[in-house]
Amino acid sequence: MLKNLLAFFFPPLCPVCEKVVNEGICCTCLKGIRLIRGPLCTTCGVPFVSTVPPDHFCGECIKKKKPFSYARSVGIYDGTLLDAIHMLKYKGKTSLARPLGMLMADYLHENDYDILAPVPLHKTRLKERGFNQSLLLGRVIARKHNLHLDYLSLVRLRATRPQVNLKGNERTRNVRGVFEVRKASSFIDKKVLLIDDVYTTGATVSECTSALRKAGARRVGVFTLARVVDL
Amino acid sequence: MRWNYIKPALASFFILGIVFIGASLEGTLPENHIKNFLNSKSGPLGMRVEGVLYRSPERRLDKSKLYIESDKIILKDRDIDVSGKILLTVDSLETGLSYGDRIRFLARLKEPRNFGNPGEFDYTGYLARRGIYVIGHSNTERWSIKLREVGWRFWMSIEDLREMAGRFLDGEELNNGAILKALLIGQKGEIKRGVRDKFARAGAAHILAISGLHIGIVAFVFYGLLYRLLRLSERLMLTFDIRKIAALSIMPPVLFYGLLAGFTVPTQRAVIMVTAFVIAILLGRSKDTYNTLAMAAIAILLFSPMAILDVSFQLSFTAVLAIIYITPRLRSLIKREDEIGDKFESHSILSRLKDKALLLFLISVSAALGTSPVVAYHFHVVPIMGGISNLMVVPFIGFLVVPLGLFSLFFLPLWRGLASILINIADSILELSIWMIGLVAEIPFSAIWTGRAAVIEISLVVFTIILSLSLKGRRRLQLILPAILLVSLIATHGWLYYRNNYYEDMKVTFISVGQGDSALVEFPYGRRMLIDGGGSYDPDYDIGKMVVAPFLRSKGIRRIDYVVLSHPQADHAGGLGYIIKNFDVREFWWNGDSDLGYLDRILRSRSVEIKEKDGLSEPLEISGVMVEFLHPSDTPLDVNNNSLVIRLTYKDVDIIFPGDIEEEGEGELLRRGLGLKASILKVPHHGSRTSSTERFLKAVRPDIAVISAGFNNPFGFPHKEIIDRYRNLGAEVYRTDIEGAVHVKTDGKKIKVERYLYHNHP
Repeated sequence: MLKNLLAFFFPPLCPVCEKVVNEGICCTCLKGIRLIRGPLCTTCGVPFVSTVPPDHFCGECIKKKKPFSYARSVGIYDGTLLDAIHMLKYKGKTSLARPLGMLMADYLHENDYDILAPVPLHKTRLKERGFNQSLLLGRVIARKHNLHLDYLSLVRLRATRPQVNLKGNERTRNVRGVFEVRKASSFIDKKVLLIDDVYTTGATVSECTSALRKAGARRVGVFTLARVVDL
Repeated sequence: MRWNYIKPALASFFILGIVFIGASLEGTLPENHIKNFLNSKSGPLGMRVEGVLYRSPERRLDKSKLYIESDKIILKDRDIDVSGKILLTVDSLETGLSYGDRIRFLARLKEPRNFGNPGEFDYTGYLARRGIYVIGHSNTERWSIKLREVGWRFWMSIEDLREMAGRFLDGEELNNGAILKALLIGQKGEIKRGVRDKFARAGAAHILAISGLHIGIVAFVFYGLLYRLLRLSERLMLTFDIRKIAALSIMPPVLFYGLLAGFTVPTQRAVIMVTAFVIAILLGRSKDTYNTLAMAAIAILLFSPMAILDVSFQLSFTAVLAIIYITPRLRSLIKREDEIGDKFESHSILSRLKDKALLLFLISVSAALGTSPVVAYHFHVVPIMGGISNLMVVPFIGFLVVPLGLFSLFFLPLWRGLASILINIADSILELSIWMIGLVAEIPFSAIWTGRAAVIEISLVVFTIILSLSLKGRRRLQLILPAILLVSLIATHGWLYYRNNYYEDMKVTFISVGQGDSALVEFPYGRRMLIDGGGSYDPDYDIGKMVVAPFLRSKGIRRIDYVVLSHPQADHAGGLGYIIKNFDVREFWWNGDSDLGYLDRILRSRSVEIKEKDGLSEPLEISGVMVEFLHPSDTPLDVNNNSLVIRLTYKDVDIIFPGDIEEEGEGELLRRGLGLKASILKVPHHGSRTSSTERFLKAVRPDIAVISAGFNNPFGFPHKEIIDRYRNLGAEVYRTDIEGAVHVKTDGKKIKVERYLYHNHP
């Protein structure tokens, strides 16, 4: 009754296109999400142009080994996902966190982690935005899969320039040594899944991984909502 | 059709149904309503009644207004249980009463009554929507005794708090204590008239009455404060959604303010609106502002469907709607927002301040633009300085004075010293904003006179605004369509103007001004004459301002070519001061009897040409109408009998305006042997039996007689035998006290009479 009444006064809208829906993101918008399917790089998760299985290392990961065990993303960073992430991050539409987090939670099959850790924001950016979008996504996943979420131990020490406007090399330099684990005991001998919204060059998550490994994490996986793919 | 769309539509129909049922139900009152006992026999000082104050008294200059829920009337032989609310006016500031007091009082009670003029404020409807069908007046010493206190404890303590706040504000020796009282506890009765007029001229009068604007700003300010406070803790930010916490925590201060303001109808609405927005934020649907607004409107209308007729309701909602719709569109017209990059550029404080000021300006302009059709419809004048004065006043008063004052009152019971410091800061800021208001008020041409905006004009304005803002990207259409609309708007306005000014008829409206005279003559092709301006014996009620001016404005009239005063007596001259001060008056005619008092000063300051006329003055012609001066002659008579008598003749139709002449004046007219024939006669001296002598009427032989008198006036005008005398001579009798404004239209041959109250309620 109360739910219906609320639905009348505040009809549930698709958070992306604002059409009336029953729940979550509408079908039209969901179709605008290009899910990442195999074959892909077993380490960094980049999808290959060829549709022939099996998965294998990509050229990049052969050249230089990534610090994390593997990285996976739900979809390609364009269309609906790009719009949705922009709305979430830059327009403060935090109501998007739930449906987007559910997308991630549904994608996550294996359940071999001890702890979820969102990529932290620096205090000034957090203040500006009022929330950490990776944490909001992580919270939904953690609840769905009943996992522990640690959002306080891993911290960002400096306010870096936004990665968005930088190129590959600059990105790596930009975030070098930026992350640190405050409470050393948190990650010792744990299998950690790092949560972020977008994977571009992997510079940020790599830096986080190093910090987590230094703090004694046994294994670090990376899971992002979207990933930049140059096809 | 998608079910999703149908469901809300069905529900809306359902709710509309409830609204209309509610509307029709409000018309029935219980049988024991006090309204049905107003004719019971009672003494000269009125009726003895018992009841409970359901609100605290309101102060208005030197009067108090009491809201009483009656339950018993005490007659000579028995008591009767009654019900119903009474609005009682008492000629005293200190009643010693407050909410919850049960009193027995003596008052003259009556049903409220509109004057019955086109364009007037519907006072009766306004009261009825508040459940009040009986008003009363007490001016005796010891008019009431307090029996005991029976009110609801919670409200009593709120009232105690308000009273304490009032005493605190009185005791602090502030420069603007009266305005602070209005802004913080909703008591605006003590603001001096000059200050009030200054605000009105600057288009900022609305700031003095606590409304949605104030509550909204308080909500906004506290949200900002709390959000910034919560942001100090990183941990809080990570663990909770601090936006939701901040939204939820604005409810206590908003309620505190609402209660402090007396929780009047507009404040209740504002609190509901804020609550709706808070719920929307909590549900994460904060971007659906239109839905939220609609939900607030529906919630309010469910409980009081007739609220939609309240001007304050219409203004609140159109203002918010305009801010939601117009502001972002204006903003995107002014600057293109770079979605991502912009966010990360480190802005300098100066440019951020500039952005904020621009936004505030746009909000102010949007609200003014959006409400202008409503304002034009109800007030017939649209202040154009509103955009500027609000920009200067709202930030200071809204963002600083009101929050500081609220903090001060909050700390009052806890730490008086701090409360005193805070209120004095608020007072100084207020001083500054009043100074600025004064500057804006000095700017001439600060308002557009629209007349009563026609519905078609309002729709055209609204369409123009919406179209010119919504056709994003289609630049050519964006220019062409509004241009077409604008042209048609000008054309419609022009056509209405033409229709109102270029006619070949002569029109006379006997304005219903209560006990007094006032008639507007519209000559063919648009020249106008106002004969007398009514007047009341209550110095606080200016008939000119409250009755005659709204009527003239509703007709879009600004210029009056001739103002005629039949004789300098309060019920004819009282209302003219405001008219001469505020309208473009060209000539002033009167009989030169004694002196004009303060009218003389106003006439001179407005450099109106003053002409003395008497029975020997040369007749003149105005647009084909002959104007003759019949009286007074040089025979010395008293004030009434010395009235200037004029006759207007348009082809075969003539009208005599004899002012207040009585038997002697009529005799003098007859003695001088003038032809007195007239088809229409304004009945002399409001239908008094000392006038309208048989001989005079036989000389005039009117077909139509119009009596201008006050409803239930203390003189008993018009006397019954006089009405009969006219009827017996075959004249149709019309009277403003019962029928409202009487409008006579003639092409010089045929005469058509319309009565405003009968026109509206056949």
